[in-house]
Amino acid sequence: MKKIVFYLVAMLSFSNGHAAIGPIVEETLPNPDNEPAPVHPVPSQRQLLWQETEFYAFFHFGMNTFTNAEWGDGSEAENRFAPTKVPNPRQWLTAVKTAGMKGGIAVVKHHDGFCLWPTATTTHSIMNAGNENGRYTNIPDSFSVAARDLGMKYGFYVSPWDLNSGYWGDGTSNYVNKVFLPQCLELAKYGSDQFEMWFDGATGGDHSGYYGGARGMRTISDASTYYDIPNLRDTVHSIAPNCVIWGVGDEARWIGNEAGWAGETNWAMGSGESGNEHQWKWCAGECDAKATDKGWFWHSGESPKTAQALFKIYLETVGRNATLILNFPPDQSGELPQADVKVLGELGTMLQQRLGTDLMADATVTATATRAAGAARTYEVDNLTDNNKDTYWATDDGVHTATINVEWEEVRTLHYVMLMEYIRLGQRIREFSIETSLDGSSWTKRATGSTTTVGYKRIVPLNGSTSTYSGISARYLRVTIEDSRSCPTLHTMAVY
Amino acid sequence: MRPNRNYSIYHILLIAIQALLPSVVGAQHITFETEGEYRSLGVYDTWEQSPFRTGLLDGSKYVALSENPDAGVSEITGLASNPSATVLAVQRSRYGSNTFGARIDLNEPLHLGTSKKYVHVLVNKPVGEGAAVMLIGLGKRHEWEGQRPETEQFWVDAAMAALGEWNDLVFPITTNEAVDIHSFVVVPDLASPHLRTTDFIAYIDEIEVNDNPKPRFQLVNYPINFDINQTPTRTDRALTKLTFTSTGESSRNVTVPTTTVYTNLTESATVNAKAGGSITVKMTYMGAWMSGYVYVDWNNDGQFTPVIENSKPTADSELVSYTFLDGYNSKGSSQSNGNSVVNGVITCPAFTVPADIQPGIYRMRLKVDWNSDDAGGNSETNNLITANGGAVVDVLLNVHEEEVRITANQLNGDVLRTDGLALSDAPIPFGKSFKIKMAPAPDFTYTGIVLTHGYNLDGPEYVRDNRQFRTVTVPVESFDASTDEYTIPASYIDGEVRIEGLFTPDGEGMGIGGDDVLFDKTILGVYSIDGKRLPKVPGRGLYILRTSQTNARTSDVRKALSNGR
Repeated sequence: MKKIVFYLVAMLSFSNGHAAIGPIVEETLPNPDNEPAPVHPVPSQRQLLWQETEFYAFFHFGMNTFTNAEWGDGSEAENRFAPTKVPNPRQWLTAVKTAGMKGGIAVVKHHDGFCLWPTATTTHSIMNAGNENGRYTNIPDSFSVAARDLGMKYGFYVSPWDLNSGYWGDGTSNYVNKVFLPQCLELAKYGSDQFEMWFDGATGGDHSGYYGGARGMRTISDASTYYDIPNLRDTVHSIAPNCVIWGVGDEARWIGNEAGWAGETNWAMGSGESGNEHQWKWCAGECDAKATDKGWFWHSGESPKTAQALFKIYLETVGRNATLILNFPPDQSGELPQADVKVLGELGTMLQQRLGTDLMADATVTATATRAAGAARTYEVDNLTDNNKDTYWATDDGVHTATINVEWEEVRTLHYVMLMEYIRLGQRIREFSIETSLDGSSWTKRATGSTTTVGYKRIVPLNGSTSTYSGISARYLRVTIEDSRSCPTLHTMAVY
Repeated sequence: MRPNRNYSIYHILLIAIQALLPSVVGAQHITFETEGEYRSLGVYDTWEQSPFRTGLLDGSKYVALSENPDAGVSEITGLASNPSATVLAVQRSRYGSNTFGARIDLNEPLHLGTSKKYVHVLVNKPVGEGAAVMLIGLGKRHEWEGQRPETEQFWVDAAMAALGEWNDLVFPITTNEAVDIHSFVVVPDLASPHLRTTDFIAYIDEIEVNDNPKPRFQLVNYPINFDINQTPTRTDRALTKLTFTSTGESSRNVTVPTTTVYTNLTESATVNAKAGGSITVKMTYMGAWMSGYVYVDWNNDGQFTPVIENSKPTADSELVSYTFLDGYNSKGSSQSNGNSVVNGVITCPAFTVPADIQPGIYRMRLKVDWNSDDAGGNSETNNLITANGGAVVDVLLNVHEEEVRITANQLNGDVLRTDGLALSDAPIPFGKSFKIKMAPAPDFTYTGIVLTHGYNLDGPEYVRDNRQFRTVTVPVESFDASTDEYTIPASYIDGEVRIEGLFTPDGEGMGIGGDDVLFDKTILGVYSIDGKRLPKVPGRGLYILRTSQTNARTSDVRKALSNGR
């Protein structure tokens, strides 16, 4: 057959054979504990620790609190920042801790560029605030000290976009070199134990700003390159090794909405509400949501959502392989309003009542398949209930389906099933099912259609609803892994 | 199972203008032919617990210079795509992560400045492996003394067009202008290795950094056996129209230009069908003594592979329908001759879309030819498709489900169903228009949406030159200002639909300087400046005023407006 080729450049022709010559190393790593091979990508240690934070607060406080705005334009006079009391992050964190939150992230600079710490990079900061309370404010310092005292994790939101700075988007590297990177360095030094830095992805566009008095609209083409995120990430990690860089930092992803929900199918790779099983990088989802009925910042007349509404958000975020960062904005006194404090307590009580008692404790648990034990590790179903995140149940290689059976001595009222994969070895489960039975022979499928991925944590309402709280009577329950990328692993299972 | 004919020209090698010659711009060229072109070789893995990082395995054993395993003329392409004598070989260890690769430390740091550069790398890996390859850049900011030069600066992936052959992959790279690149890492296989029981060897060669985004040579998908610009040689024969009838779909007519023998209509013509359904193709053809052939690339490998057994296409044949081939049509019925034109139409036998095929985009080829299952056209000297008045047309086939998924993805507001529910709450019917509603967060308004529709929305826009999805921007003017609703046309509901709502602050407090100034709706009335009525911002009950029309500050204009100006 004639082959038609188009030569634009003549090439040399070699006629050697097709001998495949290269390094052939016959090496086998010992596996005395018979651990399953990781399914890549897998999370880094800091990503694991970050995901274990699960539920934490967002505190939007700053110039906008005093201008009744959500996005300032950077022209706000510094003296408009005038809290009626010295802001009290200890009160913020104490309140959210009652709701079961494990930490918080404080806004220390929003798009308006006003810095809530004494920075050497700009005069647009609390150093020129309108009163003594303002000038005494140092949110990174007081927030980190309070968090440590309360045994909570902490981090900062610092906006890369700066509508106050004349350097931002001026076509040079001045903003990054003289303002942004030094600011991040200043903030990193407030604590090597930070767990997350939140870099908002807003990049200008059609929002006009002050820009050092030049005023107008500016934009940048590529945030990662402009802000030099790779080296910022490296620097932050060198100072705060467990600090995940959110958003453009590529270590945790925005879930794709601000309404407080993740997809029932939610991979820790990819983007958006559902992620993507086939993406190469681990980047689990974080859901940011407002707990109040107005903006991210405090506005007069706002009210918190009900505990029931917040519980639903919890189920649809933490319960769907995402973390939840729930916003409670301090008011002009620098404290959370009492209405917010009250609902936080109610939410904590609700979480404890509904998800605080594991009925697996007095159940008999068996599995249809269990991985052969290694020298110093077993993979029995007992590992599911031993409150040890480092032990796990698994099946043998090549066994991608299995059923975990749970039996009680008498009929119980069941509401939720909670599953946690051993994600240190990668997210694996694609599909599972949950069934209940009164007699062990007649089974009813629960929450059908929603039982796909598990990931770090999955909480499945047995009545199929995150909005209503009603129980299922059953003496038997079984979870069947229907499909998995490799042998499934679970380190915890609970029934509430 | 083998094709019924012993030929397989499935790629035509196009040698681009830059073929294997070093670029004059920012030349960084590593040929692996001579010593001193690079500082050192090794392996790298982004995975912290990699045995190549912990020291359990010695990475230096896994890379080496090697004789080029494929320096000769390819039996497939008829060309020597890489005549180089020596190449770099890397053993893809099953113990490394999906980002394990060969590390090449550069002699001198590479400084990109502010411009985008392109790294060209020749890669060859065995048939049967995954197509994805990645380039990782390791480096540091040049002024930060003490920073590790192993800081990962970029990750860029590319897909190989053909396995078992040399491919020229192009990786666009950018860095901050303060960054120097000290090493490249070529990751031969981005897939997770957890199911591997053996390693494989991949080959790397001719690393070049330049300003040219085009590959030095290209393995072409869906080749044809004649010049792509070949004009018809006969005036008495021409394919003018295609008519597609799919189960449960409206009949689709596609007009075929007659200016060239080959016509690529993949950007404008997509045929819809459902898995398990049947498709009938009619070809309106002026002339006689020619036959019709229909191909579908079911496995998306860039070629059409006919498999004929017992005078019929097998279930996995990619020649799915024909009116005449060696005395039979694709139903296995005997045909006395290949004159398939009846009343100016060639009617190809109906074929079935595999019931288990994944929803997605597939290349479909229609061909008028004489007794040839070669998708590139009959190339026998006495029966050239170009001499016989034949034609080749490519379109896309959209194999879809009854319903498609729709999601929204936005900050500072929601894009909802008109009943207020989240878009992702339930799938929507394929091919039917669908209405959405904008719901800005307090103090925000909307400026429109960006809508992406099709398949593989997180992947490349084109796979094997087949467009997977389209992205359109719908401006605020397209919305119903009274309801904040927009009806997505049915043509956009052709696969997964993803919407990004564009929300912006409503501008309260904005000052002068070329900004838009927005006013609260409580300032009632219709206003004008210099005889021009102020437009209302849809969805927000706000009036918009260009400050080019006034020098006043917001408060001044508000006052003027409230006075009924």
